[in-house]
Amino acid sequence: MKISKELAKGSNALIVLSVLARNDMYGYQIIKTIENMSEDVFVMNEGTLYPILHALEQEECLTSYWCEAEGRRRKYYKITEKGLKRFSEKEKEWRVFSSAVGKVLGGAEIVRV
Amino acid sequence: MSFRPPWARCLGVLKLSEYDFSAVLEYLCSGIKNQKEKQSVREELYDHLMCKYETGLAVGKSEEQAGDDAVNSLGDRAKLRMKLSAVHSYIPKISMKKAMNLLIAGIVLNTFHINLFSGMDETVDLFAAVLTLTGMFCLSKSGKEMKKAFAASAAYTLYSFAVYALVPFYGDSAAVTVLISCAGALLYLLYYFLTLAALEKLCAPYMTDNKKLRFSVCRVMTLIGTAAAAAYKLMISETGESGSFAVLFPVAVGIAAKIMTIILYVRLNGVLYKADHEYKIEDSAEKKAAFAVLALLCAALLTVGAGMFYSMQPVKTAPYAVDDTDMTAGEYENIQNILKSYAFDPDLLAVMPYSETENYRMTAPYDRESADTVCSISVSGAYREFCYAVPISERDDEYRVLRYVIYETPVKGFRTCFAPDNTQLLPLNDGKTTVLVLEKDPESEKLLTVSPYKVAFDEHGGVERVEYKGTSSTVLIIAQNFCLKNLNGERKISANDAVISMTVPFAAARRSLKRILQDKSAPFGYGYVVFSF
Repeated sequence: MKISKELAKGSNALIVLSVLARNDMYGYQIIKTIENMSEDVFVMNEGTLYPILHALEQEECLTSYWCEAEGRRRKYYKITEKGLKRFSEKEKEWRVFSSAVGKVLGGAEIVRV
Repeated sequence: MSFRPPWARCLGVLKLSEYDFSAVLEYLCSGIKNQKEKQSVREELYDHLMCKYETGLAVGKSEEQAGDDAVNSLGDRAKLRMKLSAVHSYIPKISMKKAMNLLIAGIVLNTFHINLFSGMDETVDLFAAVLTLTGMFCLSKSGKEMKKAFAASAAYTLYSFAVYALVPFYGDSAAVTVLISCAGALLYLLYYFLTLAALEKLCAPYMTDNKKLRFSVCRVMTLIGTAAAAAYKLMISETGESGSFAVLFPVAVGIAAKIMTIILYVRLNGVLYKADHEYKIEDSAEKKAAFAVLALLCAALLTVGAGMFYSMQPVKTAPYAVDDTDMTAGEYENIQNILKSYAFDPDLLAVMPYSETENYRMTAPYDRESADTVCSISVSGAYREFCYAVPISERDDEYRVLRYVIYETPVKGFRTCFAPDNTQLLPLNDGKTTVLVLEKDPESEKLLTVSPYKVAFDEHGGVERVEYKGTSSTVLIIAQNFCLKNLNGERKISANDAVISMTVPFAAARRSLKRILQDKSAPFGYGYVVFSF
């Protein structure tokens, strides 16, 4: 099942930070990793990913460096201390949010029964 | 088979060869103005497309299909282009903290620029206005209240510059001047109070008891300062003069209010920052901010430009009579005698009323700025101004016109203003009044000393006694200094000099004074003289 864009919109940056908290990666690799880890639930397209990466880089949550790969230059992203802090905050926020949503949905279920 | 993606038509691309992502990359990056960033994004996206393409080939797709899929995986390309150009916008991202800092910098510059950049007043005013407006515009994204405050600040800025441009049209009418001043005071109060209200609302959730921000004190002080300034203008329009306290009070309260406001804004910024207030201002605001500020700047420049245009117009009227000016017949005669005593042709004296000189204010920027100073002068009771022309070369048709304002300041430490290019000394006719010494270092051309002194001359014209009057006891303000070409025809105006000031040790200045006075070979054509009436 694919998640609707609207639902995923608020958590895209969190997901990107989460992936980069594990390893330095380049754009294509990030997309593939997210797809694999979410078992194809999150399919982030390039039009979404790169503006997020560039914005996070400008906010100094990420840094980048270039490497040679397959005969061309490749840009890798690395999470910074600020990025880790942001990730931790967003993650906490997300857990509170999802838990609250879960409780509400659970309550709705009981009412329906 | 050629690869022709669906977006080719809108790009005007009819045909693309295989593996050629250059057109799509060019399109995607076309909104990024910074060439270095553009190249970086281009290379990154190229690597991405190639990864996709190679993956496509690896799973057995044809070259065309692999390329097609790679390009289509980008999704809505127009949207991506827009997002990339927004992220890599020319204009730096504005945060609440930066916006507040811009606002504070604008107020600081606007409040204290007289002392910092004397002679560059229009430029400083414009710069301060741009800083303030940029800050206000960015802050306006924080809510409706701040939007209103921004609108008021824009209106007040336009008013300020329009007043400059319109001075020649209403300068003679005291009633209109008062009306316009009151309108300006009201606009300023509106802008100030709206801004304070919006900021107070913004920081209210983060206020703690031990962090009082003294909004009320700022409001009261600004209200008193503005009301006092308006009342003062009304008073001098009716009576023509006033006491020195009347001018000092609104100026002192006004400056104190601004200092309090600056402290308040700095503390407010700190409170919001520490409270982890949402400091980012939406991205789309940046371009709008730039356009709005540019538009306002253009409007301000237009108003200043209009003022300059009028100021450069040749004088159409014949030389004025003494009755047209504030000068009395006795004073006029006195000046003529003074000129005669320096071997100047007294007929060269050209007086003009204040409104006439207003037409040239743009050519003497330090004069324009000194509104407070002019107020001080006008209430001091010693205010007199006049112009006279003296030859600046041996040719008869070229003159330098000097206009002087004489002011005995009641304030200790008041600045002494002078034009730095003169080293001349002209003693006064009776040998007892004040003279001004300006001395240049002959090698560096740097001005060394300036100070008013009382000098007594002996019967042969030599120096009998030099008496120190104090560096802050007398102020000479050279309000206008421009050239006249052919007094009977069109006048060509040229701006002259900036203003600097200093005080000097008495002993050194006295030595200079004596030396200059005794130097008979010193040029004696033009200079600055303090006349005491």
